Amino acid sequence: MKQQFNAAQISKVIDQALIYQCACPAQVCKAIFELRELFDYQMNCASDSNNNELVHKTIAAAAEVSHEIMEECLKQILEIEGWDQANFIMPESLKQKVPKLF
Amino acid sequence: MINSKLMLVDKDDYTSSLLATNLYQHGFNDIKTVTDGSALPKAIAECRPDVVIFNYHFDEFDSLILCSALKQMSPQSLIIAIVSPGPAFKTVDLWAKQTKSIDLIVEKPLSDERFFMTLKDLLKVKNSSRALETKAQLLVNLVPEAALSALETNFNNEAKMFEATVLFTDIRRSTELIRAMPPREYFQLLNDLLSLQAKIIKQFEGSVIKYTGDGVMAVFKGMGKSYLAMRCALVLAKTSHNIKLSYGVGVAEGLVLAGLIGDSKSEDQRLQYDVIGATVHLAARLCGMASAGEVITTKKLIAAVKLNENMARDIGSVSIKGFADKIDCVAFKPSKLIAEENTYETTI
Repeated sequence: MKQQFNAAQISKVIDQALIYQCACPAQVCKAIFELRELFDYQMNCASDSNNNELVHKTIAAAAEVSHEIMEECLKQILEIEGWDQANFIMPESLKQKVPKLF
Repeated sequence: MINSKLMLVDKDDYTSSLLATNLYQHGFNDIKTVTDGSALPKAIAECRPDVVIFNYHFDEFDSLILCSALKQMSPQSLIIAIVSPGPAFKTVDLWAKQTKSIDLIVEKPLSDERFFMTLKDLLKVKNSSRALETKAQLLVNLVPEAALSALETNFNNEAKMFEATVLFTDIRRSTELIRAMPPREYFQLLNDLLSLQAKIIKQFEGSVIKYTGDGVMAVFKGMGKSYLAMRCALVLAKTSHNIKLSYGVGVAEGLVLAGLIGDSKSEDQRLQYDVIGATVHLAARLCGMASAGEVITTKKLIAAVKLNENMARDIGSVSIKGFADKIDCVAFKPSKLIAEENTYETTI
């Protein structure tokens, strides 16, 4: 599975967006992690000769496509929100906006 | 408003203030925030938090070590780690399983209501268990030691039969005394006396089974039980000479039955630990016969423990209510006879 973002980068986004109400990029990050887990799990199942390989490879392939889409989505939303894409730091403008929600 | 102390450990100023604001808005108004790990020991000592919320940031393994230290510093605190999903969660989960230093792991981002509801529920459970602990501590003070050990080993209500030596004390002329002095003063004197008696009984390896109003009932078990019970009785009787509330002592040995008695049929069982049997009745009757500062026991018991019979006053064969045959009894007035025994100075 190709990965645009590593675990540290994705976790950093989630770490900064702690609460659901202000965590839309974090929700995308969470979905990316879940798709990675789903892919790994299915590949593991596919390698077991007792299982129907085709079923698990089909799920794994769908997870891979979904993962690619969600990674692209993350890239775009970070850009739209103005995150520092080199260091994955939430923009100050967003930080100031969040407390107003509460 | 929720009456619980919360500590928030988060090195990131932004996320810690975000979480603190959110907690505050959910009714938690006693929150201490710690952003510097080195300040944690002092903060824990000052705050004694009910819950520590620990915001774990990716790849900060050092902070997990801090988390374990925190559990050691404040074992009574509930520790909740907030962790991002994926690899960070796996790391923290493994750490929690290995060290048992984290009570609950919650995935980020925090689902608004679910997290705070969970937190409130946890605090409710914690507060109830704290209330139970306080009650249990009170019960430990109220319930005799023997009853507690019976509860630990014999919770199925089965009575146990064993050989024991039973000792009773009872205040002489208690009705006159209670009428002659203010009730509160009598109550205080009585409590002081019972405490002293319990202390002496414990020193001779006896167990107080119950307080009988104006005295105690104690049981001695195992090797040398009658010897210890008699020595204890003599010290108790000697102590009785120096105080306002003087009392008599009765001692008897034989089979007894111990267990939980009371209403075991209904749902809200009311049970109490007790020791029953003819031996208990006999010891109580002998105590009733004893004058102030006197110990009455059976000749059979004295013969078995090989106490110096010269110390005893032979009472002869006595008819005792509930016993078909007469029982040979002896009395001891230990004030002059056991000067070598420890004295229990008292102001009672």
